Amino acid sequence: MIEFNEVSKVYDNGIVALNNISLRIDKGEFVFLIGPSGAGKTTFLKMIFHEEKPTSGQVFIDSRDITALRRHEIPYLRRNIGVVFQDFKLLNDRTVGDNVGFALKVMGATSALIANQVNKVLDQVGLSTKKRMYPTQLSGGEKQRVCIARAIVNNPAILVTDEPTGNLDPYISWEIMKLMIDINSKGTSVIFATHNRELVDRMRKRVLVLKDGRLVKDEQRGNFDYESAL
Amino acid sequence: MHSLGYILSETWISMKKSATMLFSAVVIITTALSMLGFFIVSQNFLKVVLRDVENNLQIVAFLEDGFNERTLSEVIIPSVRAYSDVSEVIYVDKEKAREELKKDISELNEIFSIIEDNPLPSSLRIKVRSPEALETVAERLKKENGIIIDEITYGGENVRNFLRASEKFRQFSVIFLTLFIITSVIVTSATIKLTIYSRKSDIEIMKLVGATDWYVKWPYVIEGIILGALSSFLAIMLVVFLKNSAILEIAKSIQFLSGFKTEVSMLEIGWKLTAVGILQGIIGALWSTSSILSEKE
Repeated sequence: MIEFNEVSKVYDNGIVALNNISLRIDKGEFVFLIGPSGAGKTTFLKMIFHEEKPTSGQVFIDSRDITALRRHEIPYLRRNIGVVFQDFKLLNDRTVGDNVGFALKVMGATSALIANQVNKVLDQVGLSTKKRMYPTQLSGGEKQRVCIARAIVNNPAILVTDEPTGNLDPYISWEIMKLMIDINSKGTSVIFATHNRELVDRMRKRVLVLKDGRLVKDEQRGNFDYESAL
Repeated sequence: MHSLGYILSETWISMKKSATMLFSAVVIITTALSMLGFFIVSQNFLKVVLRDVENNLQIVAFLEDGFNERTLSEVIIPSVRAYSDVSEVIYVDKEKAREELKKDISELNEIFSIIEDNPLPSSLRIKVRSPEALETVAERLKKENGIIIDEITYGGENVRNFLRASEKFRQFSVIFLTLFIITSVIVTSATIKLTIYSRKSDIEIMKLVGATDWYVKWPYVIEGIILGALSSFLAIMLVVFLKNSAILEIAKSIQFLSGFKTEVSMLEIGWKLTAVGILQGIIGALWSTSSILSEKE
């Protein structure tokens, strides 16, 4: 369970990224996060994996105030949260298998466990045959699936995705969407930031709308029609 | 704590990735360490020369012919030996002076065989304890009764200026050496920082998937140790070459310095440079990774 309690974020340059956000996302929920560019979506997501700290307010994960975490505790929080980026953030000098296994390696997992889990998630994202290839040899959609495989390889409770279909064509975007639904069906909470109207309108999941750092709409089975909320 | 196998494999991956930057780092660290080593050797050489000069600080008082030998041996020499600044007084008679000259300049043997009279004067060689004492002892000798001193030579201003300058140089050297080591560490750290900055995005990815600070740091620390050790080895080779080809060769070409040798052993310089090199590598790696890691939690 994720809870934002009156969370605000003002950057050093004076930009208000988040303005008094309070909400709750339950375990196993699928949530779309939408809004125009600069609305605060990325900052919102970064709060969840402690890449940013609120200027005021608290963020709770499983009832624990993560804003009060000490520096050395942050890695352990992140091991329970998968993150998928629009620009993939893959290590180009390592194979697909090594990229995916990397998240387990930093946790000190055994080689046998890493090999087993890597095979399992690569199979899940449909990249079993590309295990020994390098990211530079893959298409955009394949890279994004590697990124998703890395994010879910340690069975995280939360999956945070920042415009994962941003650079992909409609067909591939749907493939990624199906993967997300599959992951969510196994109990992982998914927070999916996107500009993709079709995905949001077709899925009819909970939709959070951010505008100028404020939560302007929070609708169950919502759609992409955020202009009406502004 | 992660296994050594993991740390070494990550170190190898990291080093392969920034080979060009690492080459630059090795060149810079080697240069810095070579200068340090060269400085240590030069310092030691100067120390040897100064010690020799200081040990031979002496006044030569030439005695006028016809002095009273009894007064000299029973009154004057004991009196001069009693000066607090005097460490030794040696009487050199005319005959001994001639033998020494013949020994020093063999070409004069023929001339001396022709000349029947010995033209060289007897003298007192008075060794003093410090360069400052040269002038005061010389002045005091002039006032001694019972003997007529023909001439006093003691190097005067030149020797004192040389020794004073050397002493100042020695004092400044300590400050210079300290500053040099600090600068060297800063330069090394900056160089390692550049290599680490080139892998900043990798570090960000590591952090995002839950790597601890030490998981990120260890490979860079090992890399720093390898860089330091490799640079030290190259620097030691360079210093050996410089020592043999430059310092001693230059010394040989200057008459005043010929015959002197450094007393510092290459083993001593070796471990000093290796220690400084490895320490620089570790400090540089820790400093650089800490600053990158603290940019974002």
